[in-house]
Order: sequence, then C-alpha cells, then structure tokens
Amino acid sequence: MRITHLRMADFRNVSFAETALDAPRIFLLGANGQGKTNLLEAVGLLPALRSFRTPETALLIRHGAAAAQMACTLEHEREGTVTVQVTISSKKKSATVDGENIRQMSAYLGRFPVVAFCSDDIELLRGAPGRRRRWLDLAIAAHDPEYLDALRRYHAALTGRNLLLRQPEPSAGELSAFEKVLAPCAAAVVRARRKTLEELGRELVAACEGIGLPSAVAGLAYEPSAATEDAGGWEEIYLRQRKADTLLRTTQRGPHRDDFLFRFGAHPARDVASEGQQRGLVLGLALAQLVLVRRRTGLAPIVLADDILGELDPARKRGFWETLGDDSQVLATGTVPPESAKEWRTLRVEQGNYFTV
Amino acid sequence: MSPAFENVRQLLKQLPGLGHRSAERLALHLLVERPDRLPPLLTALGQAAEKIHRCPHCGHLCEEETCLICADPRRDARRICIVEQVPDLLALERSGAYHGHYHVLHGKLSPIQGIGPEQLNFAPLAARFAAEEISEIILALSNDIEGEATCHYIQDTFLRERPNITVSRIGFGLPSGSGLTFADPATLKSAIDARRNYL
Ligand SMILES: [Zn+2]
Repeated sequence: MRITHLRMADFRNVSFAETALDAPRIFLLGANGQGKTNLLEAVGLLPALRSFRTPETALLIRHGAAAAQMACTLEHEREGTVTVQVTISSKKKSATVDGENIRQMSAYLGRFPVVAFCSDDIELLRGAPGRRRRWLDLAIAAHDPEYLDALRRYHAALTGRNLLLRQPEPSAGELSAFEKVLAPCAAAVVRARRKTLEELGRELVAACEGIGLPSAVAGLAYEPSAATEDAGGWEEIYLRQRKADTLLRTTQRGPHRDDFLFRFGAHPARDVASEGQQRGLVLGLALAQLVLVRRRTGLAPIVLADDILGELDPARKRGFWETLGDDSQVLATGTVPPESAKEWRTLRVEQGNYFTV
Repeated sequence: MSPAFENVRQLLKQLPGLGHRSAERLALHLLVERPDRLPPLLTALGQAAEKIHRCPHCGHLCEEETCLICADPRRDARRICIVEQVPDLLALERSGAYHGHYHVLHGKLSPIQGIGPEQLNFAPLAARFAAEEISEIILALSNDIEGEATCHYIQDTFLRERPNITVSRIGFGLPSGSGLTFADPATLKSAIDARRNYL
C-alpha cells in the first residue's frame, strides 16, 4: 500500500495543507516544530482513527475548529486507487472510503495498515504501564475488530461497576450483573494480549538478530493483572474482590491493570540494559510489529519513521531496511538530509507547508 | 426574560429529546406565537392524565384496569417479552411477529444515571412470576452494556430458581448500542424469529 496524496485541515496547528507523496521513500526535511511529525501523525490515523502520539483527541483539533480532517489517496494492493477521509471531532471519529461512510469499524480495521517508529518510543520501555497498554491495544485493535469491541465493552462495563462501588451500599445483584458483562470481555482481552505478546516476542528475537543485539537475551513478558482466560474465572475474581474493591471504591484487578516487560536476560531491560540496548529493543519491537501486521493483514504497511533514521548505527540501519523489504512505503522525518539522498523524494517543511525540493 | 417564561423553559428542557433550544422554541410557540394552541393542549393533557396510567401488570399505558394487551384473551399469556420502554413494545407490535404478553421496565440498570432495580418496574414482574404460569421469557433489551447487565440481573433475580421457563434474548442483528425503537418491522421480525437461548 502506498499513499500518493494527502490533505489535512484543522489538524493540530495546520489550518490547511496539501502535498503529493507519490514515491516509495519520502523524506520530510525541516527544523523542529515546523509540522513534520503532524504529517506522519495524520497518516498514522489511517489504521484505527487513533493517533500514535496521544490518546487525547482534543489535541488533534486545531484551536477553535470543530473537527480535524485528513484525506488521502492510496494505491492499495487489494482495493486499487482508493480515497480515505478521516474526521476527528471532540464527539466522534468517522471515516469514509471512496466517499462511503464507514458505519462499523469491523468493516474498516485491517484495511489500511501503518506502523510507526518514533524517537520517543524508548518511553515504551521506561514509562508507565498505561503507555504500554495503549500501545499494545492499538497494535492489536488496528486489525482486530473483535478485540476493539471486547475492549470497548470492557471499559464501559468497568465504568458501570466502579460507579456502583462508589455508592454508599452497592447492591450485590447489580454488581453481579455488571461483572457478568465484564467477565467474558476480560477473558477475550487477556487471551488476545497473551497471544499477540507471544508472537511479538518471537519476532523481537528475530529482529534483535537482524540489528546486532544479543538475541538470546531479548524477550517480552506479559504481566497480566490475572492470567485467567475464561469468563467463569473472571466472574470468580470479581466476586472475590468485591469486599476489597468496595473499600477502595474501585475495581483493582482486571486487564485495565495489565502490563508487559521488555526482558534482557533474566531481568527487566529497564534495570539492566544500557541506553543503547534499550533503544535497540524498542526498535526491535517496532520491527516485530511490522512483521506481525504484515502477517495478519496480508498487506505491506506504510512505515512512518519519525526522527529515528539519523540516530541508527550501521547494524540497526541494516536490520531496519532488511526487515522493511521493498514493498513498504516509508515516510521519514529529520532535521538533516538523509545519507543516500537520491533514494528519497525530499519535501522541505516550513511552518506547516510542504515544498518539493 | 420573564421569570414565568424561564420557569416553563426549564421544565420543558427536562423532558426527553428536548434541548435548550427546542425547549425555548416550544415555550415561545405556545405562549407568544400561537397562544390559541395552548388551551386545547392543556385540556387534552389534563384529560389524558386522568385516564391514562401504567398497567399494574405489565407497565404498558392503559385506560382501564389493565391494558388492552393484558386483557386480550387471544394472546398467549404464558409468554412474556420484557422491554425497556413503551416505544419498544409498540415497535414489536408493528412488526406483527409476536403474540404474547409484555413487561415494560421503564428503563434499564444504569449506574451513571443513578437507575438501580428500585427505579425499574420490577415489583410487578416479581408478582407475575409468583402468580402466573409462565413458560417463556423473551429478553428484548437494547444491545449495549446496560441492556446486557439488566438481562443478567433478571436472569439472576427471577429465573435461576425456575429452570422450566425457557429464556431467550433478541437484539442480535440489531445495530449495536441501539434500541428496538428505531429498527424497522422486518428487522424486528427476524430478530424475534432468530432469538437465542439465553445462558
Ligand atoms: Zn398490561
């Protein structure tokens, strides 16, 4: 899949911008703060109408505007030339494909895969669990409508249970009613996360070999709040937790408290790996994701490389391009021109405008 | 503006489906633009309020001791279809696919709106389970988290001790999150025909 043309309106601080992107390798060149990353972020909305930078929808909408919009033309392996338009308002997100409204996300997810590599991905390894959960959820939901559905229902039912726990005397009957909605969703979420992390872990090992990290020591470990993968088990957990949850007035166990770890040898990578090794692991994870997305969708995802190419050492650069292969289009950003400039179509970015060089 | 007008607007705004704007429009229309329309409306509302009440059995609106559906001897009284609100019942009636009795809950469990079992029409339902011979319950609640939780609540509270009652649920195939009211008759008919055993 390749993007050939992009329009943005009221997106972040860009009131309107338009640019042709018709090349396999596009390099967006410019000083920081000129809008390079905005363009990548707009393309990144394609798979699931979610930003890879932030969960805060409001940040995407230009101050004073009602909605942010992105429209692009794609050359697609299966669908030919296709136009996708994404609209993000504070109330809802919507998409049209060739002018037709998408009513159900199940008819959309998995059709337009994109994988993002960002310079601040290191926070994925070092940051709080919420950041890893969000990354993992987006990585799975981007091509798995059933997962997205289970996750949404889980959070809606969780809100219900937490509101009940905040009442002076929560009724057992009502708690039970919402727990029975929660339980199968929790089981489905845990199952999908475990499977995906196993698969990503295997691909991470392979990717580490490719980028010159000791592959024998790299790994991912799922740290679920509870490893239960059947609904009955979750019903029991919620029932058992009721007393403690009532005291703290919130649901303490469940997939909303899951985490996963980067391992380096027998230990968490954040404790024992050097900064360079940590960066390598995070790059490895994004490469693993690329392999996984390609396998699950059967399509060549668009690759976004936000300010990462400059800092890769030769081994990592080789691994990056080898895993990428030739079929993925790459949109990269940087403050200095790329080394082999003639392989790239370079666009100069100045104050939200894009100029062909 | 005038305090009396403000009072009317506030009261209208609390009605379902009326926002700030439409409440204002209605109030202006009835009080200033077409005041001639107000007296007949007030009379009709007053008369209706005297005559119409909830059916003590099923919660449907009625003018007599029971509603027309509960009173109809041709309908199958052993089957009860549980719905959230009267418009859902009316939609099912229009589909013509169902000939049993109903029970209207007048809402669904909703912690966010502060609606618990006490706010719903469960007491008459308990009385029906105790007094009537029921062979089938059809849960026709909306296909969202709150509708589903309400189904679980009914199952746990009334049906666990009554294994002889067949329980099924419709709503599958209806747009997720939407109620029955906006589904067309054909969709509702197929939803009734394709109802699934529950639990
Ligand atoms: Zn009745």
